[in-house]
Amino acid sequence: MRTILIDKIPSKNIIEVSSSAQYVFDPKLLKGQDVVEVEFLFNTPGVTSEIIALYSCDELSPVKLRTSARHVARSTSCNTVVRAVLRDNSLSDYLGKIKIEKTAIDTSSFLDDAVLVVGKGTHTRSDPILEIEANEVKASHGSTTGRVDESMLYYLESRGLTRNEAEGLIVRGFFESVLGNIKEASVKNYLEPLLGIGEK
Amino acid sequence: MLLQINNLRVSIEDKEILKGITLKLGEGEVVALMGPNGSGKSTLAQTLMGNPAYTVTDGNALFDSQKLFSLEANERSNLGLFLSFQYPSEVTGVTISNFLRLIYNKKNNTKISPAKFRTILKEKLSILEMPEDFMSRYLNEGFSGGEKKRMEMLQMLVLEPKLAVLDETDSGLDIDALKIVAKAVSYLRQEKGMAVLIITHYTRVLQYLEPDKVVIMRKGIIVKEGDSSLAQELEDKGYAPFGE
Amino acid sequence: MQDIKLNSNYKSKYGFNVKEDFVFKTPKGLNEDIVSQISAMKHEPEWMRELRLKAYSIFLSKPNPTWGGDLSKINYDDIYYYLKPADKEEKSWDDVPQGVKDTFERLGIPQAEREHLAGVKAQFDSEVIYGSLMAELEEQGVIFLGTDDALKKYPEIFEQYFGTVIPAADNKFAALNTAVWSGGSFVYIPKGIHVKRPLQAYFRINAMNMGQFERTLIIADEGSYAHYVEGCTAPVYSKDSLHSAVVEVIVKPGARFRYTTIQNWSNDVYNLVTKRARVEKNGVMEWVDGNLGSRLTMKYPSCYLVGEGAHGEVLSIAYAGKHQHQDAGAKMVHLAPNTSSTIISKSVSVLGGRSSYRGLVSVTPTANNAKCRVECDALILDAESASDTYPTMKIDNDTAQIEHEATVSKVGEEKLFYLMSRGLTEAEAMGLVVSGFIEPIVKELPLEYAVELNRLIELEMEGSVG
Repeated sequence: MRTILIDKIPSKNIIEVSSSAQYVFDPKLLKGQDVVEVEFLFNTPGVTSEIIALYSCDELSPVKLRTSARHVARSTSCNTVVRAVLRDNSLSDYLGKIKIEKTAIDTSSFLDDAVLVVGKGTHTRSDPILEIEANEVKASHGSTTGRVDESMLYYLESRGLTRNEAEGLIVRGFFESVLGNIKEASVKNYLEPLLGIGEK
Repeated sequence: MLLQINNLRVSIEDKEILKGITLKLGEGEVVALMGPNGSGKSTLAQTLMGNPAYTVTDGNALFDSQKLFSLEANERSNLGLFLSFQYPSEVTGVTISNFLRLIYNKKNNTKISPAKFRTILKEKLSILEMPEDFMSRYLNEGFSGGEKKRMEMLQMLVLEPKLAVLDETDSGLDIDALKIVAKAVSYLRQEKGMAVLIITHYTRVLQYLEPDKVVIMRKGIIVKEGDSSLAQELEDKGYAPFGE
Repeated sequence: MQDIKLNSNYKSKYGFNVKEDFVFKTPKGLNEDIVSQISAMKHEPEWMRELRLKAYSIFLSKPNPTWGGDLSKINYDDIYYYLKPADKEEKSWDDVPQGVKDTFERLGIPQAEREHLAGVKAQFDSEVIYGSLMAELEEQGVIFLGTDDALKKYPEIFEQYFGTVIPAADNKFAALNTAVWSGGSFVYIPKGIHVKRPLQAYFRINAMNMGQFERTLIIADEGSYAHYVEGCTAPVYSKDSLHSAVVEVIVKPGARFRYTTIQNWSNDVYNLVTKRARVEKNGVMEWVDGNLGSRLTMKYPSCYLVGEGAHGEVLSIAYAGKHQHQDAGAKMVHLAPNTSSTIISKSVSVLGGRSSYRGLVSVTPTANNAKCRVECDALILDAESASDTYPTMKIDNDTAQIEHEATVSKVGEEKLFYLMSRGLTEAEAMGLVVSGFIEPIVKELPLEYAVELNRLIELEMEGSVG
């Protein structure tokens, strides 16, 4: 599967998924624009795709992202994964839609959105949406917002890490679990420093 | 004395669990702490390690002549205290190899390369009969009960503590897995003179790790202490004779 | 659906299902005079008349909501807003007119079970005409009255709480209800009183094009507990009806209140209901909401968790059949520290029906350590039907723990095959799977409702397969 970095807003805000591919949002684009809105249009039967958005928000760079996986052709599949880390006074506003048209039988589409809060005074807007018009489909979404788990911090501290180190490790792992799925090493290498998780 | 606990009282959410525990454990000693469910054994283990959910209301504990309860969990770890958790957290995205190297480097105040660490790890993996490809998995994520226990033992081998507290590390293991755990503990006892506090319901594990002392807890207090023959007595009669 | 025979027997010049002995009826449509007239007919205090008129002007000023379902077919000028069927509340079963009794019979209001019920309030059109309340409740100081009656008997409590949880300006339909409300229940549970058996009320619409605008006000005082149950059903009509109720619940510190609704409106009804609870310190509010029938339901029971440690829960079942749209959900607003909430929603779409979950979870900056969990599961039974999920999470606090999960699935063929291989018909197998799907919520219902609901699902399944 090819990996495509989305570093500018596509024309008419639509990307046609005509062959199987992995799409990764450039964190610079997400932070640089007021709103980033992209519809992924599945009108070629049998294509499969992954949509990945990873970002770390701080006070100066709120992120407003809208993605839509719109399935029209049959037997397409999509997996949307969003990971956001919120630092002091930051905002993450994410709307992620899965739309399955009546014609799109045998669709699989999933969305998984997680916000990890590490700072104070943070704001989250989260709107995972399903619009399902067909029944021969598999679709689900999950969305979580929460601080770093206390028992996890304690477990890592019991192995000799300071609280800050433990939190840093959890943040790193939070992104790493998705970065690990990015096929193209250059894209992965490009993202790491932007997420503040270069090599320790 | 490596560990000295005096009149320890501990509460969780205002409910008193430990009601005055006094316990000593010498360098290199093996102590078995036994008792039925709800007697407070795990509370003692978590309190020693510094779990913030537990509140010490009275008493103190010295570990290697240092006051334990004023220290953070990582500071206790640095002193050489290790707890094998009954329910270890799953930490997504953090590979075992990276994590083990990180804690190894911190413990030994060094910065060795991944390649060099791999050779150090090889020996430890062979003790635990763990395959090397295990190392690319995320810490405890999706592990079976037995795998989690082995993962705890692997971290113990990496950290080489002075005292390992094994909180029901034996429970839920089949006989082969139990032998592997015992092998890891015995290895550090022989090589590093590690002391062990074994928390368990069952006497089975004591066949492999013979205790110098057996302590029986019930409802937050210690009801009996004795040598390893006490374990045999428990095996024969159960906990009933040790009730109030 | 089984009413055809009775309908022909009771044909009257108005085309009503059951002959109506109404004593007063406003003309179709709504204006200030009609609003004032309703108030005058009820001999209400001046403040209520003014409130109604103010609410009416708010109703006019607000457009129909553009989200949710299709409301464009509602003709507000073609609706009777007030109809008074009898002069006074009946005191005993024997006094209830025969026509009304027949309707109750068909609805299955269980006369034999009456002793098991803590109290029965049945709403026939706009007025509470029959009610019984067990003596032990009266001794405990529990008030369970028709809302109109409560305004007369307890004007102070009424004025103190009425419209405080859902002000007229909240939304267009809350404004409409405030302007023309009639009937509904008033419940007051005194401090520390635990009412063991559910308080029951039956609502139904009878007259054609008769809007029903009942208003329910519940106050659970400190440390009290009660369970209120309402079941709704209506006969089939050819023209559209509007049901727009408002339910306000005040849960005082340490109190716990459960409000269960099982609704089975006929396919013409627009069911646009505002239900909201204000939950104070360590209080618990539970909404159990079963939505069947109606042309369009828009209903989102809410909890405003205003006191520390307050807890809110919504358990919701939506069943959208032919020509039906269930737009149901829940709202949890966390306004105080250590508040928690749970929303569990199960929806079934069949025969071209559409079910939508619409929800809001909001955590304000003052609500530290709030926890919320939302689970939405949808079952789509055939290719014509549809399902949507629109949860919105607004989290303005860095200590919140919020989880939302939603799945959409169909009934697996292997599962159907397995059940059919054990001798079940396809409809039976389908019914079994659907019953299993909603079981986690059905088990929370009083037994007679659980039985009734499962029977309804079985009937629906017979109509939907093969």
